[in-house]
Amino acid sequence: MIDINWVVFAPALSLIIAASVSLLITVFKKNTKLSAIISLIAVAVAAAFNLQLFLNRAEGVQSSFGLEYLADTPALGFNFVILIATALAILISYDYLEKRNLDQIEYYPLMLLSASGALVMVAAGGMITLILGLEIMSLAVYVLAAWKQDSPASEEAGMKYFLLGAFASAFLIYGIAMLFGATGSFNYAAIAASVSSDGFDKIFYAVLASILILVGLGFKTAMFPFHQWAPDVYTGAPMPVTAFMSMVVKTAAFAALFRIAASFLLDMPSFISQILLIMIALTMIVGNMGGLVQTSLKRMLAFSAVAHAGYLGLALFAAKTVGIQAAVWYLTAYVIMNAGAFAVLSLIVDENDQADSLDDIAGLAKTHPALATAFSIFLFSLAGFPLFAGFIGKILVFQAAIENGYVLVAIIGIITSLVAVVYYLRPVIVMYFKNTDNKITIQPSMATTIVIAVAAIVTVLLGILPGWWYGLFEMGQRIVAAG
Amino acid sequence: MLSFVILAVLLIAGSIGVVSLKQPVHAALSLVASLMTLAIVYISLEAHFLAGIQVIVYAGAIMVLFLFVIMLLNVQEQKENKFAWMKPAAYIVGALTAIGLVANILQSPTPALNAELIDTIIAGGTAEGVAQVLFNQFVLGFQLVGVLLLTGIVGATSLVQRKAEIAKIEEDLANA
Repeated sequence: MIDINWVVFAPALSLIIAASVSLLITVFKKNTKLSAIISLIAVAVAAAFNLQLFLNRAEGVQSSFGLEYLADTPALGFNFVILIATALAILISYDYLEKRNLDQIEYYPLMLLSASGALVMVAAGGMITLILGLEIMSLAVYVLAAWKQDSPASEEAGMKYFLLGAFASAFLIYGIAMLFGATGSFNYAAIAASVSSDGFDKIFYAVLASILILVGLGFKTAMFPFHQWAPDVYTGAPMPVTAFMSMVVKTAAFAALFRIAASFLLDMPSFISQILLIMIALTMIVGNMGGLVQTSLKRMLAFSAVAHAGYLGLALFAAKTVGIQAAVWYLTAYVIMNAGAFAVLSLIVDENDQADSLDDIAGLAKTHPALATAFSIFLFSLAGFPLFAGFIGKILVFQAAIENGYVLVAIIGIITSLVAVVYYLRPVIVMYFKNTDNKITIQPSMATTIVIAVAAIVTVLLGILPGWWYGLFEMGQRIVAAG
Repeated sequence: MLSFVILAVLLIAGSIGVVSLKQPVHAALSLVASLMTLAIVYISLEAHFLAGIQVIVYAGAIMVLFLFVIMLLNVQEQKENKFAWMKPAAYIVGALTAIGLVANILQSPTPALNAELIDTIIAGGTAEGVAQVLFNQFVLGFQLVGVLLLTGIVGATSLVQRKAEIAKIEEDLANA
């Protein structure tokens, strides 16, 4: 019989159970807020289980289902990021949905199911678990992206994401099948052992499989040239869903990519690293150049999400050493500042998520100084100014790339992040210095205000005291669980 | 051997019927015939479970859906073919695939068959063999597919149900 260690599976399981329970309860009592509170509790329970596993991490790799489901340090680190992001997205949704008549009872259960899929993806020790987690996560997000049914933009977002996502999944599955043909296994550890063994003669199929897998996961992480869907889908989806997508989906897809890179991708012929290098360099360039010409702030943040995928990609080359640690740190910072920025936007925009152009926020500093300050903190952090979380994150990924000899691409990263300062600072200048007499009406929301306040404080705290969170995820060489 | 030849001929005849018959319903029924023949091939290979699944899922559920869709949409024989340009390409791809398959079969060495080897090869086809793999090695995947289906059902219901509600509100407004 296979070993089943339920504690290892508990974080994902508690989200799945909470989703089912809140679906059942809301059948009798149509109360979306109740569902939101159940979801928040579930996220807290999942985080508690995750913490329990994290405290036990010194006792060796904890796994379940025979190395198919892992709770090693990288998985636990990414789990924390996903749970934080889910909690923030639920809080942003709390008042937003009600004001726009979008408070259908299935919203929070779908979000929880999506997050549980993300946790499964992060913890996957094999390809079958990975693809199932990815599909659970994506299927729920496709529906959430099309949540606002009277808006053509939202329906387009859902449809576009669904069709392209299905296409990308097909690539990933094809790659997995081919890798199974080459190595005879779905498990990362077994694949890694097979690929690095002496008599391995199916290198052609393994390389082809790596490219296909890279395409599939490149789509989910929105890396060039598979990023085209991102601006449209991010703009069309309702604001909390955009925040959820840019945080949770990105974290889970990157976690999977890191594990695959550490297992076998970097051991492939250098040709694969070259492809990855070009993808990452172009992702940074295209994301930041695209951001320069946007007037809609939501769309600008969408391009910023693409650019950040590029910066995170830099750490992939160090996936066997400090890369995952750097990525956990970067994603924590990214999730918090991004959640803050989307939370601010969700207060400013009108009923249809419009009115988020630069002109619409002119003079925000006069009417709502606290909100303007918080938004400035998030934008400074996203741009990577010193003293904010984003700066340390960028330092870590650039360092990871340079230490592994990828100096040129790190320089491209530094140059593009200087260019990015232009579009991150434009809203700040408009908020503070543009004279205007337009009256900005914001829609007050307690839950969203909490998100903004917490995010602003943590962004600054992480920027000033980066060490402790980074030190927690010290993982040395033990990234792939050995059989 | 004789039974295999008979089944193979029936299977190929059924498959040719699927692509050559003009009436969609006839083509679908021809597909049923070839799927059933394939189920018999599975039985002759001692894969009883697979044969049962083949009949229930493919020849049963999926074919019923096919026939439903064909009858609901009332598909007629198409007069002008919009995809005429695809025809030569399809022939070429088909021919190349066939050549590749035959070449591959001729090239690869045929293992000497003995009773023991055959026994190990066909061991996995019974209900017990499938269950051993499904509920041991892939039990996590099996459970996660359940979660995936739940997600799909919840998502689809929430989208469709709301559309019905919106339509009803619009209708009420029009009547008022």
